[in-house]
Order: sequence, then C-alpha cells, then structure tokens
Amino acid sequence: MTATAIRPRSRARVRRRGVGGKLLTALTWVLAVVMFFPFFWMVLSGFKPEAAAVTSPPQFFFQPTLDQFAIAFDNNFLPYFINSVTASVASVLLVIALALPAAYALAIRPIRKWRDVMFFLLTTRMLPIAGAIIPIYLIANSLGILDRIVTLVILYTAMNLPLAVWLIRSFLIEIPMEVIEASRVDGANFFQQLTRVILPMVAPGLAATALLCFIFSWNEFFLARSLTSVDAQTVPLYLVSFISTKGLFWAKLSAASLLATLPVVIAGLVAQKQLVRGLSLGAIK
Amino acid sequence: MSTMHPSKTRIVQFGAVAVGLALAVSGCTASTSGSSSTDGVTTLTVATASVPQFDDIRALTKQFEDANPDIKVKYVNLPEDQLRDQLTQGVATGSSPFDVVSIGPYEVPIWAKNGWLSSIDDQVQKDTAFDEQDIIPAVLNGLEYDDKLYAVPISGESSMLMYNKDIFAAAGVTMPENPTWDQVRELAAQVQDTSKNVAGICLRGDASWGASMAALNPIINAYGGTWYDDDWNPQFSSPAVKKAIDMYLDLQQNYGIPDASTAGFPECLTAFGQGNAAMWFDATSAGSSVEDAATSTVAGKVGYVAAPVESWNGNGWLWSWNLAITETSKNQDAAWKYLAFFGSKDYVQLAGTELGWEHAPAATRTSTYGIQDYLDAAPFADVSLAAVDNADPTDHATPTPYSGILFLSLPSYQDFGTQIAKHVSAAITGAETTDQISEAADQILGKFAEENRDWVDGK
Repeated sequence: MTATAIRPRSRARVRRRGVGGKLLTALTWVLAVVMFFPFFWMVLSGFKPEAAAVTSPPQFFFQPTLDQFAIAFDNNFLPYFINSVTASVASVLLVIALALPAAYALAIRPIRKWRDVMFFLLTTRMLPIAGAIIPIYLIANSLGILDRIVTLVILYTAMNLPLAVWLIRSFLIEIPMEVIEASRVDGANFFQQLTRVILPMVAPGLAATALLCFIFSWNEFFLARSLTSVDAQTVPLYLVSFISTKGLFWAKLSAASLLATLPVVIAGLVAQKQLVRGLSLGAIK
Repeated sequence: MSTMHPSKTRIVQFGAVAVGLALAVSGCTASTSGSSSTDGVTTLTVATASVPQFDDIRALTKQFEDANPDIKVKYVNLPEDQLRDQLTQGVATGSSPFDVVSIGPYEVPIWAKNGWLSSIDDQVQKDTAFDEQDIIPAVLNGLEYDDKLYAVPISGESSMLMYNKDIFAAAGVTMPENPTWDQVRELAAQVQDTSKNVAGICLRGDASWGASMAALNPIINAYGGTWYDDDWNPQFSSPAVKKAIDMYLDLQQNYGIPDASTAGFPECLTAFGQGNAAMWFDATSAGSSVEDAATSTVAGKVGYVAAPVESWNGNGWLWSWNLAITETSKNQDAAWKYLAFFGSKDYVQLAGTELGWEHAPAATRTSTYGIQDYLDAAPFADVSLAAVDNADPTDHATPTPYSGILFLSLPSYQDFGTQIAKHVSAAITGAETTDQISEAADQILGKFAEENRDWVDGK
C-alpha cells in the first residue's frame, strides 16, 4: 500500500522538472482558473446589489449585501428544494438497489451474452430525450401522474440506471476472484459474500456512482420542465423563474443559483475522499 | 459452484424493500401537496410571468389573503416565453393546473376562441366597484373576443422613445417632440461616443418575436409597410418594408450597443440605465425601471417622446399584462375575487402607497392619471398615457387582413415571427442583407398564408 502511495508522487516530481513541466503546470492553473471563474463570478454577483451586477466595466469591489439571498428565500424556495431532494435521493436509492444486482450478474457471475446486455444498456442512452418527450408526456397525462414527484423518480432512475450499471460493473470486475473464492472457502454464503466482502471493497465506487447520479438528477431540467407545473417543480425550474424579460435579475439569479448548487458542492466535498478512491479503485490489486 | 448458490430470495427481498422505500418516500411527498379546497380554504394556483408587475402582485398577495381568509394563493413564476409554452401545453392537453393565468393581448382572443378561458362579463356587470368604464378603452378592446370580456389588465403599455438629457445637452442637440426615424438616426450619429462607451441607441435585437420583431415591426408600420396585403400575399419585399429593415439594420449596426443581435429588454435597460446608450426605443413600462434610482444611474435625467414616425403615423404598439381565469378552473368564484382585487382602483392605491408610486399599475385605468402622487413619481406618465390612448393595432397604412403592430394577432405568429426574427438578428451581425431577409421572410410568410387565412376566416 505504501509503495503504491509513494510511487505516483515521486513520478510527478520527476515530471515537474524542466521547462515543459512548468509550462504544463502553468497551463493547468490557467485552465483551472478559467473553469472556476464563472462560479466565482456567480458567488460574487450573489452578494451584489442588482445595479452593481450589471455595471460595465464589471466591479470586483463593492458593498456586499445579503438582500438577494433574502429575495431568493422569500420566493418560496423550500418546496422546490424539498422536491429536488426527494426526487434525487429516491432515484439514487432505486438506481443503486437495481444496478448493484445487475452489475453483479454482469461482472462476478457473468450471465450468457453479458456483452449484449451491456450494449443494450448503452443503447438506451442513445435516444435523444427530446425525441421521447411527447409519448412520455401523453402517457403520464393519461396515467394522471403529471406534476408528481414519483414520475420524476421513475424517469431519473431510468435515466441513470444504465450509467450506474456500467460504472458499478467496472468496479466489481476489479475485485480479484481469489478474494471471493477465499470467502467461499471460509463458508460465507452469497449474502455474506455480498455484504462482508464485495460491498466494503466497492463502497467508494458505489459512493462515486451515487454522487454522480445525484448530480445528474439534481441538475435535470428538461424532464422536470416538461412534466411538472405546480406541485412537483424542482430547483432548476425555481432558478429560471428569476429570469425576467423586463428588468434586472443577475444578482438575485446568482444568489438563487448559489443556493441551488450548495447541496451538490457539499455532497462533493463530503464524498471527496470516497470519490478519489472510487475513481482509482483499480489500485486494489 | 452449486454448493455456494446465491440465496436469491434474500437479494430480491433486499431490492424490493429498497425500491418500495424509495417510491413510498417520493409518493408521500407528492400526495401531501394537493390543491383546491380543504377545510373551507380554497387554494388558487396562479401562473405569473417574471416581470416587475407580477413581482409587485406577489409582494402584496398577503393583503389579498388577509382580506379573503378563505383563499390561499399559490404562485408559479416563469419567464415570459416559458410561461407561454407551459400554459399552452397545459390548456391544450386539458391538464392545466392553473386557476388564474397571466397573459398578454396576443393570447386573449386566441385562447378565448379555443375555449380555454372563462368569460368574466357577468362578474364585471355585477361588481359595480370594479368600474369597467374606468379602464382605458384601447387596453380593454384587446381583451375582448366576440364582444365578451376575458381578462383584467394589471399593466398597459405602448412604445416610446427615451433619451438621456445629459448626453443630449453635452452634444448640443435637442430631441424633437415627434421625431421621425430619419431624425433619430441623425441624432444617434451626433450623440454616439464610442470612446466613452456610449452607443447612439439601444433597440431589441435578439432572435425572437418578442425581441427584434418588437423593435422592427413598429418601424415597418412607420414606413407604411405591412406583412401581408389584403389577399394574404407576403409583403416583406415591398419598398416600404425594405426601407424599414434598412433603417433598423443601420441603427443597430452603426449606432447600436455592442452585441445588439442578442439584446432584449434587460440588456437595453442595463445599457441605457448605466448611461451607455443615449436613446432607447421600447415599451412605456420601461419608464418605471429607468426612473428607479436603485437600479438606474440616469433616474431623473431622462426625456420621453412618442414612438418615432415616418410616412405613417399610427404606429404605437399596444401590450398589456392581464389576469384571466381558465375554463378548467374549479374555483371560478375565488378566481374572480383575485382578479377583482388586483385589477381594482384600490390596488393602484395599495401598490402606490406600499411599494412606491412608480410601482402603481400604469395605463390600465383613467383614474390613475388623476393621482398627483403618481404623476409626480412618473415623469413618463403623460407620454405613456397618450401613447396607449392613441394605440390602435387594427390601423395600418394599407388594408390588411390581420391586426397588430407589436405582434400579429395570429396563433402562428409566435412561430413565423421568430423564424423571421432569426434572419433579422443574423443580419445585425452582418451575416445577411436586407434583400436576403425580405426573400426569406416572404417564403416563410407564404408557407403560413393559408393557415393564417383559415384562422381569420374562422375555418
């Protein structure tokens, strides 16, 4: 373990030497700043009075205010937030519950023609959602489940399931068969294998998958926009309600956007370790 | 292998519990949020557009609920274009959850004809305090279909030209009372100062019927142009329309703000409000934003004149924001109480005293213009009242089978208007010429001619 931890670091040190390495580092920084700047600007604008958010040239220094956050909250933020949390969390639970057994059947104990199954799962992502929205809308309408969270949960689950199966399978496949066989020799039944051996080993991977699915569900706009109208509206729809055709809105929109991104940012920070471990799961070997 | 067969039932149980749990959680939340009347309290669901007038209404809804303890109001707020999409989608498929909708005069006759709105004639007759006679006739006319009233106005507007008095004084020029577009171009050239980041004029230029077409259409009218002749032949290649397009493109390309092809109302408000544009041609409702010192640095320094003319004089556009009751609403009585409250004279007073007089609903009621507080707070009041009074969307230089100056009163206009707007916006960036716009627009109009004729003929 220690050897694997040290090796990449020393390799990085070697790479940093020389002009090329320095240039690369500089380029990385520039790119990172460019990528981060819009987010930074959004945070900054959220604390500005409305008029200061549109000045030309842009202002970096100003009298900060919390007015915009007050407006964002006053605009009935909570129901949207609860809807988003419900839709995202419920669909993530479903996705993991369904994807784990599916991935198991495709990785550890591969069924016949597992490649075809994997390809089939991938093809479900190929249809542009805009092409399916009218049938989905009409079906939901005749079932009477328009503007219901449960509709979003089902669709978000369907949307994230293929991705989750693919991801979790890639984690499961990394588990050395020897470990599982050893547990069988020790007399572990299937359920014990799953909970005591496999789950702990892929937990970081599951966390990474869950977080990704959570982010996709949290940010989803098109389905929510098309299938909800009053009771089941989610946070992305709350954000667009600030866009006005008659008047200034950048500061309050920035404040509301900041509120909307916070859960994802917090989830990302909390799961950071798991994420990194999940993404480098191959190192188990 | 066979000795260690997975206990499939366990995993199925595990999965079933998780699935059930997730669905139960989501199902519960959805079912808690029912609408309509429980315990004698009626919940009204109201769809509003993200414009300042409805921000004010939302801010004062507490007063409405206090006056009507048996009614609770729930709002869904959307940007204009999405509001239209969502409302049309809901009412057209019979699944609209809204009791009250905020719509413009473009929608009122079309929706009324489709049977999507409830007529409010009876309620207005019975409710003497509402005083229908007080509503400005030009605005009221746009809300009728088949001699029945379908909506209550909460804000009316026409078009006007705003100019920055400081910039005009510094350049030593004056604005005529009734300018022509030629004069506007001359003035734009004189007051423009690119070294100080001051554009001559701001005009909407974004590619939609509510943006670039809202600016171009009044210019077409001013030059005596029309979209169709009386026999539904496309007219975008006529000399009058071409002259108008030339004028619009010249203003946008040579005297417009940077990125004029993506400018809408908020961009122009920003440019003009920050002193980066010397003139702004837009809705009279812009006045209250321009005079709001909290968001505008030019408050108190703005002059207002009527919409510029050319060969044809009647080119003030007419728009209003209104509240209407959907045909599918099960709470018609409560909905009328809502309309009567926010469309009343009392609400004008309430908004004025609670939020500041520049927030009072403009150009809906004649009586508003007798309130000195309002006239003091709104230096644009005279110009905007005169503009709304004179606006007649049915009046064109030559007879037309349609009506409309800001928009054409045809259901397909949001479609073909935006298609043409895309060519116009492209031309602002220099990607197309006037001739190309005319040719493309005539083709588009030709395709829609039959459909439009059928609609007007009631087929």
